[in-house]
Amino acid sequence: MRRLTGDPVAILVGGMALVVALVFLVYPLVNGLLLAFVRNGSDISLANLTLVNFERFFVSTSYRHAFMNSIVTSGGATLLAAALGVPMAFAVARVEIAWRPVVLALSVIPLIAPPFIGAYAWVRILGNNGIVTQLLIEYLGVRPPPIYGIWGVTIALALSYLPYLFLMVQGTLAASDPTIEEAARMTGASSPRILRTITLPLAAPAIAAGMLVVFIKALGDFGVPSILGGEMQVLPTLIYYQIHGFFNLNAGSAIAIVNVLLTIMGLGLLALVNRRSVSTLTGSSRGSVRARGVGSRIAANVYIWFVLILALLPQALVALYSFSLRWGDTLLPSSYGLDNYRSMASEAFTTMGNSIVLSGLATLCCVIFGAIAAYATARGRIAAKWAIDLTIMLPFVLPGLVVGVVYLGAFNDGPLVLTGTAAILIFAYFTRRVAFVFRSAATAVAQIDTKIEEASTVCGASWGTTMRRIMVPLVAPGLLAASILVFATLIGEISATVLLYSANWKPISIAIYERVLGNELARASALGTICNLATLALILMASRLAGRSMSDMFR
Amino acid sequence: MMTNRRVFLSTLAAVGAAPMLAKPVMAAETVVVYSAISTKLMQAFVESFQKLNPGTTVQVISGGSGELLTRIKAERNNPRGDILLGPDADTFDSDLGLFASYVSKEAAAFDPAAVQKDHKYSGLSTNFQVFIVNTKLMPLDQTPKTWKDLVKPEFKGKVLMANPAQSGSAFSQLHQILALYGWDVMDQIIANATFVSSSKLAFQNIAKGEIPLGLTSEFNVLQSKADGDPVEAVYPQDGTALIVDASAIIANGPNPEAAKRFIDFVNSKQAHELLVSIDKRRSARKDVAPPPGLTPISAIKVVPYDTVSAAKDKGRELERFDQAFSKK
Repeated sequence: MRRLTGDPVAILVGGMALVVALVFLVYPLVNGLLLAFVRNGSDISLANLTLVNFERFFVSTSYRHAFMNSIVTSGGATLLAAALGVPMAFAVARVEIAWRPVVLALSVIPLIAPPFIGAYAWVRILGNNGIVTQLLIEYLGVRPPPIYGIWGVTIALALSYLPYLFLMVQGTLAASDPTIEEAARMTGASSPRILRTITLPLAAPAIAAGMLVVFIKALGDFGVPSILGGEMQVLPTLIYYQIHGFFNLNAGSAIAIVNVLLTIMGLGLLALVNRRSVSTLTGSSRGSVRARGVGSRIAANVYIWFVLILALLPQALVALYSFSLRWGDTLLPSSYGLDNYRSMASEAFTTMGNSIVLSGLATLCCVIFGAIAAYATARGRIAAKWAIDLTIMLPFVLPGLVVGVVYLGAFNDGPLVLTGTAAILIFAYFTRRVAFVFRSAATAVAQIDTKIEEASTVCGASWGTTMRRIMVPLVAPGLLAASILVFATLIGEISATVLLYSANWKPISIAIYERVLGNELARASALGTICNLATLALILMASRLAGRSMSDMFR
Repeated sequence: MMTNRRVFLSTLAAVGAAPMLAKPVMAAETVVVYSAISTKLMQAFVESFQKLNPGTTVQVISGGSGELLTRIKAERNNPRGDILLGPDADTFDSDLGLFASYVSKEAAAFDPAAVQKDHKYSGLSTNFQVFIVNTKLMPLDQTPKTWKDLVKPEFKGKVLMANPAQSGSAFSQLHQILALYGWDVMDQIIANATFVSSSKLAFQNIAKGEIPLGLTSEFNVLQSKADGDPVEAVYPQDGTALIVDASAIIANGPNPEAAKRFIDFVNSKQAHELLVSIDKRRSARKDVAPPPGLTPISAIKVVPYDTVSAAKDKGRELERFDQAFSKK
C-alpha cells in the first residue's frame, strides 16, 4: 500500500486523475447543484441560500403526483426487468442454448437505440390503432388496455433497460465457480434448494447492481413518459419543462436533487443486499456447468426468445418503418422502398463517423480514469473514499439535460473554453458514464489479491510495470464489457448533446432527433436502423479484436 | 507486453489530442443558425442562401424551441450563435435582451403585426390554431365547432391538447380560450380533454388514428394530409388567432455581418415562397400567397392575439392551470 504514496509514476497518475476529477466532475457539478439552493435570478452566495425551490414538492399537487409517478414507474420497471431478466440470464448462462453469441449481441440493441423513436414505435404497436391492438381486436375480439399512462410507461421502461440487468447477471452466473453447487448436489441437496441457498445468493449482488442501474436509468428517462405517459407527469418531464420552458435552472436543479435522493435510497437498499451476500474467489479455471437435458433446453430457448422478441419489438418496428414510403393510419405501410435509405445515406455516414469518434474517445477516457480511480479507492489509503465514490456516481444519476446546462455554463466562458469543440461533448459524455466503468473496475480490482502485486514488487518490478503486466490484464475483461455498454449507450445520447454539439461534430443521435422533430419518422427510422446496425457491427468487431466472443465477454 | 505499452501510449496521446479536435473553419465567413424549423426547409434555405452568398458557410444547430433558447441563455456571456430561427414570437418576447435590433431591408413587405416594434424579430409564418380531426374516427358533422363546444360531455376523452406549461402553442391556445370565455369554460375543458406533455402528439396521435380530435397549428393538418392521413382542419367559429413564429439576430453573436445577410435572406420573398411550398405555412409577408388547401383568411373569424400580454400573464395563468389540472 505504500506504493501509491511512494512511487513517482503512481503520484503522477493519481495527480492527473485528481485534476480531471476536479475540473470535469466537481467544478461543474457543484456549480449546478448549488443552483438548487438559491432563488431563480440571484447569484450563488451564502446570503442567498434558500430551500424555496423545494417548496413545490409540498405545495403543488402536480409535483407530488410526479414524484409518486416516478417512484411507481421506475420501481415497477425495475421489478419487471428483474422478473423477466433474471430467468433469462439463468437460461442463457446455465442451459446449453443455440446461438448464444447471437442472443447476447441482440440483447444489446435496446441500449443503442436513440430514445424517442422507440417510444413512438410502441404507439404503432400497442396504441389504440397499433398493429397488435388491431390484430387482437380483429381475431380475438378483445381490446387490450390503453398503453398511455403508468402501465405503458412501466412496461416500455422495463424492456428498454432490461439488457443492463440481463448482461450483468448473466455474466456472474456464467463465471461463478461450479464446484460449490456440485458439492451441494453430491451431499444430496435438491435442485430448488441449491437454487435458493447457493445460486441465488451468489448472484444477488449482480442482480441488485443490475436492478439499481435499471432504476437509475428509468428514473432519468424523458422520452418514454413524454410519449406514452398521457397526462401523467414524472420528475424528468418536470425538469425538462422547468429548464427548457422557463430557463428556471434553480427549480430544475432542485427536482434533479430529489431525483438523486431517490437514487441514494436505492443505493442504500443495494448496500443491504450486498451485506448479506457471500463472496467466493472468482476466476476459477472453468466456467459454470450448463444443463443439457432436452426439456430444459427447449424451455430455455422458448423463454429467451420470448423476452428477446418482446424487447426488440420496437426496434423491429423501426426497421419496418424505415422501408415504408407511405404509412397513414393503415395497419401496415401501404408502399415500401429504399428511398429513406438513399436520401439519408451520406448524412448517416458523416454523423455516424462523428458519433463513433465522440463516443469512442469518451469511452476511452472513462476506461482510463475509471480504472485509475477504482484502483486508488481499492488500494490507496484515501481517507475520503466515499467522497470519490459520490463524485463519480453523482453525474450518472443526474439527468443528462442538467449535465448539459451545467457544462455549457462552466465551459462557455471563463478560464477553460470548450464550446464549439468536440472536447465538450467528449468530457460531458465522460462525466455521464464514468461511474459505470468505475463500478466494474472497482469490483474487478477488489477481487484481485494484493499478494499478487506484492509478489511482483518483491521481485523488483516498478509500480508501472506491475500495473501494466499484472493489474491491467486481470482487470481488462471486466472493463471491456463495461466499455462496450458505455459506448453503445453514448451513441444514442440526446439530452446533453442537443445543448453542447457544434455543427462540425453533429452526431447521429442529433440527426435522428432532427427528423423526429420535423415529423419525418420514416427517415428517422432509416437513420436509427443504420445506427443500430453500425454500432452492433463495431461491438462485434471490438470483441473479435480483443480475441473474445460476445459470450465470453459478459461473464 | 509491448502491445500493451503501445496501446497505453497511443491512448494517452488520443486523449491529450481530444481538445484540439475542433475542425478548422474552411470558408472565409460563417454564420451559425440555431434552427427550430424542419430539416427539409432548413436545407432548402441553406442551398438558396449559399447560391447568393458563395463565400459564407451556414452552420446549423437544430433542436426544439426551448432547447435552443436554453442554449442561447446559457451562452449569454459569450454568444456562440448568430441567428435564432423558427420559435413562436412569445419565445422571443420572453427575453428580448438576448436579441439585436436590425431593420431588415425587407421590413416594408411585412404585416406590421408580424414585426417586433424595436425590430428585434420579424415573422416567418403566421398560423391559426385549429382542431385536427381524424375523419375515420369522427365524421366532420359531429365535431366541435367552437372552443366552447369542447366542454360538451360527448367529447370527454376524445380531445387531445398539449400541456400549456410544456408547450408554447398550447399556451397560446389556453390564452385565447381565456380571452374569449375566462376560467369558467377553461376549467370544464380541463376536465374533459387530455393534456399530454408533447405538443407533437396533439396532431401525430390524431393523424395515426389514436384519438379522434386534437388542437394544433393548421400547417400540421395540411402536412399530415399530404402524408395520406385521413385528417381535416376545423377552424373554431368563435374565433381563432394568428400565432406568429419568427427569426432574430442573437445579440453580440460571433458573425454580425453575415447574420444580417442571413436574416435579409430569411425575410426575402424567395425564402418565404420556400416556406409556403415545403412546410405548407402561411407567410408573414404581405406579397406571398398562402399554400393551396389552406382556408382563406376571409373565411375565418380572426381574433387578435397580444403576444405582450400573453408573455406578461403567462406565469399567473399557468399557475392557475396547474391547480385545476392537478385536481383531475
